[in-house]
Amino acid sequence: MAEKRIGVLTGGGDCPGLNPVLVGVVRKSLALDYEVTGILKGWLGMIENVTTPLTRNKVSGILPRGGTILRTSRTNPYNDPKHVQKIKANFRVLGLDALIAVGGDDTLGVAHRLYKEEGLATVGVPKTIDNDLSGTDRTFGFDTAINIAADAIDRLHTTAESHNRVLVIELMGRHAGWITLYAGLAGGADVILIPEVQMRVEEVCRIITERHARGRDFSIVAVSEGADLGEGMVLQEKKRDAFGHVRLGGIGEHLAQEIERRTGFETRFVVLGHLQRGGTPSAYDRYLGLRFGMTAVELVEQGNFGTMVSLRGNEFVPIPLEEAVSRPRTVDPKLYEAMKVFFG
Amino acid sequence: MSTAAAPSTIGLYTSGGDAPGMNAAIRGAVRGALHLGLNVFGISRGYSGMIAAEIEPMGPRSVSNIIQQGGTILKTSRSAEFLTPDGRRRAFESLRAHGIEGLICIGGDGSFRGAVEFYDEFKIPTVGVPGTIDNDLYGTDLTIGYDTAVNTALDAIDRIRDTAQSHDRIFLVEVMGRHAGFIGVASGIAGGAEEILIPETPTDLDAICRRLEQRAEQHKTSLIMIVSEGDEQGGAVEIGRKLGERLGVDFRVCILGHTQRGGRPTATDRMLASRLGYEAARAIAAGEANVMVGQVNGEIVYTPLRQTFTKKKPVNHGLLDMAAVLAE
Repeated sequence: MAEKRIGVLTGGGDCPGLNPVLVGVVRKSLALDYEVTGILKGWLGMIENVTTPLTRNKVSGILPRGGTILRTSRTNPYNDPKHVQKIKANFRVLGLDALIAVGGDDTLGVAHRLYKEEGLATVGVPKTIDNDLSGTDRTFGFDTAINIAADAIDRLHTTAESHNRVLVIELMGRHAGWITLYAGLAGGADVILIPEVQMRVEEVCRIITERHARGRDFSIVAVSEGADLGEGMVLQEKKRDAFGHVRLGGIGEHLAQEIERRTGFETRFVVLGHLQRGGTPSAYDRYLGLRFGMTAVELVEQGNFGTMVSLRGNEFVPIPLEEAVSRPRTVDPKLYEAMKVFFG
Repeated sequence: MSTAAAPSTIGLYTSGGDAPGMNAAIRGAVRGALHLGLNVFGISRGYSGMIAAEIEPMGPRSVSNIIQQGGTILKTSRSAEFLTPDGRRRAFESLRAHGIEGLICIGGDGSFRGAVEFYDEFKIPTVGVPGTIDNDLYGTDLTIGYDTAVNTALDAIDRIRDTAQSHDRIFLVEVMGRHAGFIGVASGIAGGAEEILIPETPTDLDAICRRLEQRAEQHKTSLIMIVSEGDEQGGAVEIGRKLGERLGVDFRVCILGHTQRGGRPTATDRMLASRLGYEAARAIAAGEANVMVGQVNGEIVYTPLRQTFTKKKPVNHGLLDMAAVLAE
């Protein structure tokens, strides 16, 4: 008999580094003589009891692979009270001593309520490529995402320069501009637009026009999907997912049209979209994933439930799940203002 | 095809859409021509710069350290003015003022069309170098930039596959290629796509729906469909909408766009571009006029410029048949 049986699930959007987390969970569990049950497709797998044993062999060779071998979904069990009861029942049926939930604020919010309201032994691992959780300095996936985005900006530079064009690149970030700010700076974007600080199209055009007046005849604009142009959200489709999030999009196209109309410079746009979420994780994200995964198992060992693994400086420490999901971590407007020296 | 007097002073320009490897071709042409004792001028921004006389002499050091760079140091444009007789006459006067007697044009079919018309009116001979990511030029197996564009698209498709699999999603990935499906076919086969939609073959949405339903029955719920931008049923957004209406399934759309044009050229593109640039210099020095230098089965081949846009390069339908089998 194993000492303990741990369940693990991945929820929400795809994020490079999920598979390394699973490696971290399984290898640390083996060292403690725990068994690991993989729950498939996020909370859906807990509701429907769809699982697979996660053995040493199952997680062998998955470190460099993008995605998650457990699959994910955006199922929210709190949309139906029966689903919560099913999760409680399956927790017993599966003989779990603890459940590790890897996900963003939605997934962790469910883990928090299951701990607080139903008394289930849950531990969270934060996951968001947006790097926007208040409880942790860093999340895995972010480093990969900014590298992909910076690489795309590099490519756009050569074509923008050859054609004397303005190129607008729309990057991920609904409410936090971390990806756009970091990738924009790394890629040498001439204007960076984020949700936290409003910048109107007139100002964007002014920066570009001044730059062109200095003899530079191309420009790159990096814009978050949720950037604040002071005109309200620019929405492509008003669909909402199971957690009630509006799917944003369309700001890149809108901005490109406005820049061309107002400045007369030929302008094109690119929406990077899902490319930022997939693919092999960077070395740093693999390291982070392994450490987050193994620390989650250490919290189970200590019986430290209702917590989330957090990176504080160089230390991996627990913080209450409640704290983690209470408020998003956004870009400090002072930081953004300081980075304006790189604009134009 | 040969003219009696070979030019001693030539002009070099890039035209139309930019393609990775154009700089390697510029380097090959400039150094090749200088080696043969020709005077070389670089013309900026294609036909626009020819009309505006943006013309500078080029030496061996003008092309240092550019073989690895994407884009084109000579810049490029699509000139509406060159389509007019007055524009072409002004272009001729600029060339005459610099003593330019022959041209090397790195570009695609639109650029070559302009060159042929220009020759008919002013007898300035042009040697063409196929530079376009679309690979749609008759007279060469590969065009400069195509290999890099396919690899950029492939890299993106690989990333999307991870997400498609983790989320059981159907992705429509739109690749470039204008009216040709070469990028679609190559990136689709190399990326293991389940469906490849290109302009050269009729796209039967009903048949696609049947195959999607069959795959769903086999529990194959994540898949990738490549849509060439010129497909007759529309781009990825429109096809996604049409399929979504029929099947009631959510399709994710990813348009790769201009990232495919940019970036550092692959080894294949640098090799091809160096060779075709160098061969173009040899051709113009030998008195060739109005031919494109291409590479067919590994050999250098001259094709009359007119044929490069009047004849259509066929896609290999055998490859499409293979792709359908491999996606089963």
